[in-house]
Amino acid sequence: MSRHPLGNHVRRLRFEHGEMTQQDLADRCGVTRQTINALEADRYGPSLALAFRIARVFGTDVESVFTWQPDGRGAVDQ
Amino acid sequence: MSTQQRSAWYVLTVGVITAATYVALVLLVSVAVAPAAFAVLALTALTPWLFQDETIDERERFIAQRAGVAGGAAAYLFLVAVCMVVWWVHYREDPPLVDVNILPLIAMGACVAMLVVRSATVLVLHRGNLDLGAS
Repeated sequence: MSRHPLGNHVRRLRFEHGEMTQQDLADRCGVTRQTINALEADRYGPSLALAFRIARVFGTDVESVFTWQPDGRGAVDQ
Repeated sequence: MSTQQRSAWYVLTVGVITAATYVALVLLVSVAVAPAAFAVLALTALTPWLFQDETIDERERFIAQRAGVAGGAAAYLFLVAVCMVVWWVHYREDPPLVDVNILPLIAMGACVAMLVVRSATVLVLHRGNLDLGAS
């Protein structure tokens, strides 16, 4: 399965924010827990709107949460 | 498992049971009685009631769109394939006659193909790699 070039720090940021659960983050972003799980597992590249919502939950900017990795290494927290 | 996945499993199960019932009726009773198996499909009408809490996010909406396209393609291919088979079987007859009972059978078969492929696609895509913003 090919990996997309959008990496993310969502898993690390969740733990840095009071060990927030995937369900908590999903509820605050208006998506399902499965979507957060797929995102952390590098099986899903989110829309720009969802990327901004996630960044806003963590109180940071999008580029602190998501990274562009042209070599396709995928999620950076794994 | 999300509500969309549970819904897909339900519809897939109903579709498979319908097809299995049809084959069983053909083998055990008669071809004339077998279309009664399609009554099982009515169970799919309960889907909105059984899965009322379904809230679809952007990823699941994307999955639903792709699955819908796959289901439509399956129904289209089924119709073309079955029509070609019927034509191939009957075209030598003079005049070529097709039993009118075949027509609803073809339509219901296309429905089953569409439902099964759409549900299976939902389940496969939930495990797969999807890109909205990174491709």
